[in-house]
Amino acid sequence: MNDRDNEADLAALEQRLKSRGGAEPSAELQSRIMRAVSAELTSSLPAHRRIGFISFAAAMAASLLLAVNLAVTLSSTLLFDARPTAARHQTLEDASAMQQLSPDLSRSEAIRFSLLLHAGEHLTPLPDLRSASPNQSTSDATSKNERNLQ
Amino acid sequence: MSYALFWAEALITALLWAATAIARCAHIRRRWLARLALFLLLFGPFALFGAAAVGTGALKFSADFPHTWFEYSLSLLLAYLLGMAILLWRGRDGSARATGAFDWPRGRLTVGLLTAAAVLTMTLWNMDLEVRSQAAGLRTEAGAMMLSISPAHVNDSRNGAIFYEKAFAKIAADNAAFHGDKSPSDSKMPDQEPAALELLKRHELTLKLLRKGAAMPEARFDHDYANPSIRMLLPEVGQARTAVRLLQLDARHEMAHGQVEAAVADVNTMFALQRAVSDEPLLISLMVSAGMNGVAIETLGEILPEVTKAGQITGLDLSDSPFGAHAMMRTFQGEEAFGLSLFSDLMSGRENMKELAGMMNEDGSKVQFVALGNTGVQVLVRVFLMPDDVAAYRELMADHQQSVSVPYFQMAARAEDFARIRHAGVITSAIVPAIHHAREIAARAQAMHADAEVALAMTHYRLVHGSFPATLDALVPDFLDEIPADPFDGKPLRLAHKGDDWIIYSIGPDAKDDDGAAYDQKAKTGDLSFVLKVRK
Repeated sequence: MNDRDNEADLAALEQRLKSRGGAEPSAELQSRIMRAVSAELTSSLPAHRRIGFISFAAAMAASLLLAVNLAVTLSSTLLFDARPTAARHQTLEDASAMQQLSPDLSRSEAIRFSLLLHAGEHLTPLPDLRSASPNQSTSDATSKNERNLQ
Repeated sequence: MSYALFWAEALITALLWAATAIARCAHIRRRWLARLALFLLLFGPFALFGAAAVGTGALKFSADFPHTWFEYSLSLLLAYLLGMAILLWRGRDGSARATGAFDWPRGRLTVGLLTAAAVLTMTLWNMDLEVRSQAAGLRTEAGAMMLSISPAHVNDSRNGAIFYEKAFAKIAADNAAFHGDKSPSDSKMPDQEPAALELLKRHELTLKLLRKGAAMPEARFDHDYANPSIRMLLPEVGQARTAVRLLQLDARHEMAHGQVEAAVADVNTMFALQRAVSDEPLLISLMVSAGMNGVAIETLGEILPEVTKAGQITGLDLSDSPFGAHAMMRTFQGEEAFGLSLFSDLMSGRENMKELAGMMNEDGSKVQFVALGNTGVQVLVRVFLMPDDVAAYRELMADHQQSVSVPYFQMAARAEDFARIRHAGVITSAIVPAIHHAREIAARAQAMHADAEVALAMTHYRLVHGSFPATLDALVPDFLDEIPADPFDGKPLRLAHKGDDWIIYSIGPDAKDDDGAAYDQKAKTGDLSFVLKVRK
């Protein structure tokens, strides 16, 4: 089929449509449509649409709760502890040193001791409130003299 | 409460999973494929809960864990099975009360499932965070505990540790001379070895400093006990041990020149140094000091036969054993503080459980900790096992601390009880040092110390009466207040006479009287003895 054939068909179709008779819309149609639209816009939402909105609001609230919860959870994972951790090889080296110091210790025991001692480096620092004896300053001076003599 | 919430959320998530699976499988046209898919999907939660129930049941009934969550796991499994059965019944075709799973809202069920899964994950996450944040309290408690048992401050004018530290610095500067297979410091006859004599000459000032330190009434090493650094502790303990070997070498040198008083002074210095090390509230210090005690007693055994006048040994006082209940109590509290700190590190995520598992597997004996390498498993361990683990650790350490006043031979009978408690926690079993073994080492040192105390009294007896007594009872009350008890059976120490040897002995860890036979370290048989030789 070529363009010339199409043009002929279209012309025939146009001719047939012009020849069809039909009733004109009534004069009230426009006002009826306007009233219906106005009523639809001013009246409350139908029941199925209200439920849809409540579901949407509930989903939003649930999402908000989840998001807040997630935000709190994630922000709690921040670590503020800047102290270095002992490297594994250090722990094992120190375990070997302990075995040399106390040959009775088995390898696994020495590793446990080493782990514990390394953990001891992370104790929360606390003030030592047990004061020295009152004559500390004089004894310090004495001991300094002794040390100078060495 | 949060555990109950987690239980409920896990059940809801599993049931939503089941409902979604039933609804979606109802739309598969091929019946066999629908049934297969449904079986596989429903089997997932069942396998998960079933594995949890079996695992926790195994912990409860075979490993004797006190808190295993077995009831939680089992009830979750049963509730899931019940809920799944109801869903399957409601979802079947032609049900009287429903139109079947074909008409179930698949989209909504899927959204509900995803939401429930998210809530469940976050609940677990928050529980993990709570455990982590509470772990900080453990570290504070451990710090306070460590400070409470650290040695009291000592005025510098009374502190022998100042001199010890100077001596240690000199030893550290000459470290190579004290190590190696044929170190001159190990010489039994230093006067016949120029290297040993040279070593002694090089360390005259070191020896002088050590003696000065021993002459001081107290010794407290300047440690930050709130944060004791292993890098500082270990070299110091090692140098103290080397110092004792240097003193032994000097005592032998003095003996070779007939200087018994000087040799006795060296032994006294050894004991003073050993006491200073054992004052540290650490198990490793106590164990090393037990070794130093052994060197001092060995040296004393070489000196006592050469003693000819009471004045030569007047300064020796061995009545105060450094391995008694107080020292053990302090040491165990120190270990507990470090243990709590390690728990805190593990719970806060500061210490990696994978690293711990790796180190525990270093000797190939702790393969069960391999699972800790998995992040998910770590979270589950932290949330569900760690709190009870900490409780078990505390219970174990409290039990050990209460038992320090119990004689070793009575404590030995309770070894199984301690082993049971030790297995009450996964981490506890990994980090608790062999405290029973440490107590055995301390008891051996205590026995050797008591042997030496009796040997000293027998030497005094010999100087007065011209010969050793036939029985130890003859020493009481003039030379001893009472015969020390054997830590391994509670009875008085024994005496054996073989040729020229007078053997004072404890029956040792095997609790068998071998008539003073020498102790075999590897086999742990024989008696812990002090041999007094008759001077010819």
